[in-house]
Amino acid sequence: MMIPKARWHLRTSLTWLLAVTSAIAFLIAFALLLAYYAPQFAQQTQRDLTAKSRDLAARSETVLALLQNQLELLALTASVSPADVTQRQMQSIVSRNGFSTVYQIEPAGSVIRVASARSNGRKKVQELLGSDLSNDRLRRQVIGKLQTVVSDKYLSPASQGITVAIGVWTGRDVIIGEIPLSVILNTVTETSNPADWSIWVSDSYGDLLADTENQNRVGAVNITSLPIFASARNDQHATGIAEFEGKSYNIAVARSDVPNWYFFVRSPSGLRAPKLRTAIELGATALVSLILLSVILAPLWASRMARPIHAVAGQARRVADGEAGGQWPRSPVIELDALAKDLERMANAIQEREQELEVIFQFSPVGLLLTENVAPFAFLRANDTTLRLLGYERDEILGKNGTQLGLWADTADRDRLVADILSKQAAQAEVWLLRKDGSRFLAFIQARVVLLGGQARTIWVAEDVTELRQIEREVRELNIELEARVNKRTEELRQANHQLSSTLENLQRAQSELVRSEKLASLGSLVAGVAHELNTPIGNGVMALSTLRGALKTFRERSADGLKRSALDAFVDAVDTGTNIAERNLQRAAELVTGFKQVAADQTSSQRRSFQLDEVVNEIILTLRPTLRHSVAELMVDIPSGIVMDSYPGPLGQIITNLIGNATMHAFSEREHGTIRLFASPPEDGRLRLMIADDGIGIPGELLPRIFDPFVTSRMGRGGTGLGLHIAHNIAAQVLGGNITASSIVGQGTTFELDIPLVAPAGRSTG
Amino acid sequence: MSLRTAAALLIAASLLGACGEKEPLRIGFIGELSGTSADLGESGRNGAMLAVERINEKGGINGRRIELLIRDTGSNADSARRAAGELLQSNVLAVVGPMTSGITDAILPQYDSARTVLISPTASAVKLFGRDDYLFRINWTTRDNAILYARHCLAKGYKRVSAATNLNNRLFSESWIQEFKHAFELSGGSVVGISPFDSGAESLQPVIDDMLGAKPDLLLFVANAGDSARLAQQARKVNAGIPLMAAEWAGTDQLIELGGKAVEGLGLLQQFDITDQSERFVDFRERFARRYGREPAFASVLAHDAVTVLADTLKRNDGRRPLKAALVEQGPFQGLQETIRFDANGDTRRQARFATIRDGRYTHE
Repeated sequence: MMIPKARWHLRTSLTWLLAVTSAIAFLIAFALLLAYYAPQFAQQTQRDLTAKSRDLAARSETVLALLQNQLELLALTASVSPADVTQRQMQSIVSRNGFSTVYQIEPAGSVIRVASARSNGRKKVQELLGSDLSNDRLRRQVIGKLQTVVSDKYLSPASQGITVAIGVWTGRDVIIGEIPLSVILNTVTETSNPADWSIWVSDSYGDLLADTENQNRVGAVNITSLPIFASARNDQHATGIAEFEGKSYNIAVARSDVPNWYFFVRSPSGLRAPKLRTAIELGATALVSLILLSVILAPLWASRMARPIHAVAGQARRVADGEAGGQWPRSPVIELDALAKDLERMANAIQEREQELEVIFQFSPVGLLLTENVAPFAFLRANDTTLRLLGYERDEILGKNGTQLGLWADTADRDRLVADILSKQAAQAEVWLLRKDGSRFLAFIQARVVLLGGQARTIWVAEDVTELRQIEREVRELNIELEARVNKRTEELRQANHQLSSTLENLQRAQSELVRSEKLASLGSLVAGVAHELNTPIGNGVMALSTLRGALKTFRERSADGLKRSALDAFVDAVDTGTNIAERNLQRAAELVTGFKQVAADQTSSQRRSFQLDEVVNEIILTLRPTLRHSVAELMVDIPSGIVMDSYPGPLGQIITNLIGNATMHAFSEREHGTIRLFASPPEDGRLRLMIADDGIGIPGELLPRIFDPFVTSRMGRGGTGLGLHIAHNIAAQVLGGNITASSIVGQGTTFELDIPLVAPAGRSTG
Repeated sequence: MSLRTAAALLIAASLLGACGEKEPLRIGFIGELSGTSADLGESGRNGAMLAVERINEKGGINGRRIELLIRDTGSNADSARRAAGELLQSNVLAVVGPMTSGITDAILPQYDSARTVLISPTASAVKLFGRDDYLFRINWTTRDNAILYARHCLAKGYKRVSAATNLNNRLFSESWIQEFKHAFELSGGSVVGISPFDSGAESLQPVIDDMLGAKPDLLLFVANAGDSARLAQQARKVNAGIPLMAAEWAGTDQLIELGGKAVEGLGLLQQFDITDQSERFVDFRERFARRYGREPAFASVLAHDAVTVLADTLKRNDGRRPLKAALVEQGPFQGLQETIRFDANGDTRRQARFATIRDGRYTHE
């Protein structure tokens, strides 16, 4: 952001303000006044002009009437008096300020008498005597009308100049009196007119006879073209505004009857109108005065205003220079007063901050020292901590440097530090320093070059690190010791670990052994069961066949003597029955074998295949029949058909066997009867829940959580390995990819739930 | 500030006002409106004014009015030059006038350097003939006139001529008398006396005495109307019968008015035909009489023609070519009684015929 340079004084601004404001206000007022009065001025002017023109017309008429009278008197005289009297009279007429030349023309047209006022040119005029003026226009007009005629612009026969003439009739002759145009001019300029007015007198043809502004126009200018001329010709009076030679004027015209002349009085119109002009000039003068007044007053006022500002500035300067005290001036001007107050607050705030920094410096827990940036690095400022560290008073060290005070235990340290400061603007080192009393301490010194108030200085920070270093050393030693101890301990632990590992290995091996033996055991019971089961159908088959052998024997005996129908029928029936029974039983035996084979295969090989759940369950139940027969429990199976699984039927069977075995073995001790239910709910989400529930004595609460742990049994030593449920749990988890849970209420029963996927996960089988 | 605004508004308003109508065309008229040739100047002015008013009545030139600025040359070269300068400063397109050769010669240099066209209705001195300058003349030269006068004199049987020449228009009168003498003596006549005179002289009697002293057959006045009238009056007082002639310069009404019976029988050359019955001229004559109360003089006719020529050129040219060239090229122009065509030097020919004053009127023989 560009801050404008301070360029002008308050008084300049004020002066401008005052001047411009008053000028504008004045001009507006003036313009309004003018606008209001201008038309009135114009109207007044018109009225004045009109009055004047009429006045002039009247006056000219009067003057000419007078002159006319003179001439008419002369005419009278001429008609009756002798020649010399007439001559004398003519002479007297021209000697008055009227006619310049008078001459008498006799009927034939020649001039018989002349009188002239002119002193020079007399001779020329005298020449008129005897000249023939029979063609003179005025004479003709007089003769034509037989009365006085006032001419228009008249070319004088005497002077060949332009005059105005009056011709009178004597009854016989015509007397013509020439009036110089200056006479006309004098009548119109007699009274004092405003300087801006000019007057024209023109004849009826519009030729100027007199012009108060410019005599050269007489004879030259013809004003017929002015429209106002035509109006005056018709109405005898006219006023209006007309343009002449590029300027516009207010004009009033009056036409006199005798002579038929027009009297124009004109005054510049519009902005050039005299009244307006005067008003404008007055206004301009007033404006200039106003501005001058502003120029004089404004600086005075400005200096008055500036005084309190200067006072505030002065106080600010004092504060800046660090002079204490001084009053912040008050002022009746609200803004200035607020300024002073704010400045005071600012000064106070700055002082507080200064003090803050001072306190921080002084009481900093580290030693702070400010020195020069160049040799001899004299001390400029030191805080209390420094003094304490070094053991000096402030006035003892300021102005001196470290070497002078004998601070350095080793001067090489100082040289190094100085070199660093000069080259890198910063340095740090741990050096031994000497106190005033000669004692040493280890100081950690950091130095940095800074710019303070435009000058380069070095800030030094010193800390007493003697104790610190000491402690550090001890800690380090302890660390080393600790390390050794740790190493030793680690070695011991490693060995222990090693031992534990081998123990663990042994245990694991034992576990597998146990699992295998359990498996074998179950397999054994399985075989036992198989054999038991087979016994019945095979026995039945054998029996049936032996009966059949008996029947055969009987038939042979009976048919030795000839074949009898009854004997044949009896034999056929016996064969039929016998073979039937045998077939059935053998079939049954075959089924059992197949079933057992499958179970065994399943049990031993743990192969994965797709199977129907209910078939496999049934086959397993079959193998368990012997076990169940010995139990008080009754087995109820409810497996929905159609559940196809792609899993390990062997292990599955093992679990079922195990659980049912457990139930028969443990659930019903001291019971007379019970029920074991084996059921499955329809699969959901590809998972199956197989339940084996009994209503036996239940599992004690404290045992239930550990039921799947190895070697947990309630019949240890009485035929239970304690591994069954553990194995079942492992199979369920690792092989079938599911899990098995147990719930039980003591006295009511136990339910095992096997939650497995229909499709077993790929992978391992139990070894 | 508001005054300035008011002034500015006023200027704007007037400009707007002026915009409504086109700027008028400014033409100057400079003539000897006072002094001894005032009659010439005035009649020239009147002719010019009449022409301007007529043109403005009919709508102006291409819709623009003609503004005629009139200045008086006064009676001497200095005042003439001053007046001429005033017109030049008023930015006139061209100036009609002056009427006399002397004054024309005096102000021509100003117009040549200002490259403004000067159309003199009546100047005729030979000196002004045949020059490539900014002067155009409606009249022909003194030589042409003088030859006719010489022939006329001889035809009438006058062999001995005594001439009075006006010193106040020396250029003209000297040119005139030389041309006349040359032509007259070539054909057997003789100029027995030349008497120069000043218009301001107290008495012209000596001049007449001088002229008569040479025992001429004819008194010839090379002077303006006023002086010719005076001379005639004086001559008649002394010699009632001697034939009188005046140069065409004197041919105005004033000659008759001031001459009275003394000029009866005076012959002079007229550069226009006062008896012309053509519609155009009769219309002009009537308008002139109505407007000014007298008959038009040759100066009026020529001045009228001068304005006509100028106006026609301005209309035809319409600003395309410089005026001087246009005047030469855009002719011929229809004057009141003749067609006017300028040659390259701005000179033209004119018809003239002799007239005699009878019964107070110019009549043709």
